[in-house]
Amino acid sequence: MARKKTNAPIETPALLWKRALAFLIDMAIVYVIVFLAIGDQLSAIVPDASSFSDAYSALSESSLLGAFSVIYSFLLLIYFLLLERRFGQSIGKMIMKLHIIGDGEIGFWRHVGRLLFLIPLFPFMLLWFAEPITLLLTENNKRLGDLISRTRVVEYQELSPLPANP
Amino acid sequence: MEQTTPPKPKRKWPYVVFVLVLLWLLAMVFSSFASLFLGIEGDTLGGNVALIPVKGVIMGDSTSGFFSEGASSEEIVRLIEKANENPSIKAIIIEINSPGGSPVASDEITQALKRTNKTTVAWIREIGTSGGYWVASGTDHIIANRMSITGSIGVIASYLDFSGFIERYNVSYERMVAGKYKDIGSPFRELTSEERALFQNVLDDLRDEFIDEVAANREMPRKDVEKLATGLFFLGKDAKEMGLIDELGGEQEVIAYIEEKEGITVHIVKYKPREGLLDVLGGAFAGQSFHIGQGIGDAIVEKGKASTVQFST
Repeated sequence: MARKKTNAPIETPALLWKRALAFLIDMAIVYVIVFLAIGDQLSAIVPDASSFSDAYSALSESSLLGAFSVIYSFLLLIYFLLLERRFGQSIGKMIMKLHIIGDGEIGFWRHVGRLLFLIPLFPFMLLWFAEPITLLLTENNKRLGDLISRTRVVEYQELSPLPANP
Repeated sequence: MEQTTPPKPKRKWPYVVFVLVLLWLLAMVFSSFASLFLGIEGDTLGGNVALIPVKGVIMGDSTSGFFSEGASSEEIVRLIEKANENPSIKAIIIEINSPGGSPVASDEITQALKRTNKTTVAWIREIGTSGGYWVASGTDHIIANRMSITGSIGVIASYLDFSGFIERYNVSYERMVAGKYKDIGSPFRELTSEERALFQNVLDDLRDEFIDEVAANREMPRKDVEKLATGLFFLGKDAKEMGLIDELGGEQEVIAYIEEKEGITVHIVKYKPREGLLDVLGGAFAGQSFHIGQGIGDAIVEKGKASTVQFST
């Protein structure tokens, strides 16, 4: 009977769409948690909103839209820090089978460096514009956060087994 | 490409669940802090004073589910009842910018206001005349700008007489009715003097109802209201002298009145009527087209009705 050989997985830079999808999954998870926690308060603020614009204007007038955004950003930051520091993966990355790796051990501050764009304060908010630019222009689609923290997001691909020699 | 070994799998899910629960708790804590920092008390997070707009012509309901215009009494009554049922809401402000409209619709809103157990305040903006004033009279306190237009207590009914027009084009109106007055107010023939008297009686009755309502709501002698019920409109400053309104001012005066009466710090929450689909989509153009079309259509004949006479306050 012929024997099959298997190779070690190959590390490749994560595809852009997989990274985007993983991020959207993470955003949605945190959004649902925040909404579950303060949903009653939000529905009280927006008692008769018949459209998204109504809800938005009611939130703006109540001054809570800004507060909601700040809470949401901080929770995203905590969520990524706790999960990626421990596993090198958030839930979105787990689902998309992506991993964060770097040269040597990735310490706390290097993880923070990856997530600077989530800090809802003025200079960091500029990263919302800078991140996509570097993502598109750099080799292997690295975000500015990846460059700052000297990390990269990869996926592992199993090579198909080589056919056994007769 | 490099050949490497992926990180050794750890038992992840208990920790993931822990993180998610932690986030949920933090969200609750953060939102409580946010409320404190913004000076909003827990039970007033959604506001403690409801602001309900009555804008445009007051009518029974929206013209249709697709298009909407004016102030639908059905919708406004729903909002008043909703605010009344909300224990956090201590007062209701009716923001009026309306020239009036259907007597029935105006009365429906007025009665809904009178049924509430909350403090009610009418805030007349540019115009609060006729049915708009009828609604205002149902509140505990009326505030208007000194240049607002208000009053106009009276009833109007009108229709377009096309009898001369169709005669000119040699078109005849074939009258077939079962019931002497079934086609009263038809635009295709002139009113008889008897019919005109009948209409006038109805108008007088409606005016009497209007006067009675205002006199009762404002606690004014009926004869005083009757003197004012000529259909004439008044500026806010004159209306104040006549007793038709209580105070001159705007939003600040409205808030000050409620804060003094209820002993609260006012946080206004807007109760907005549901919008038609085109409003939501910002269909201003379609709205304009509809108004033009409706105007022409109404002028000719109201579908399904022999009479095209409409009563308005």
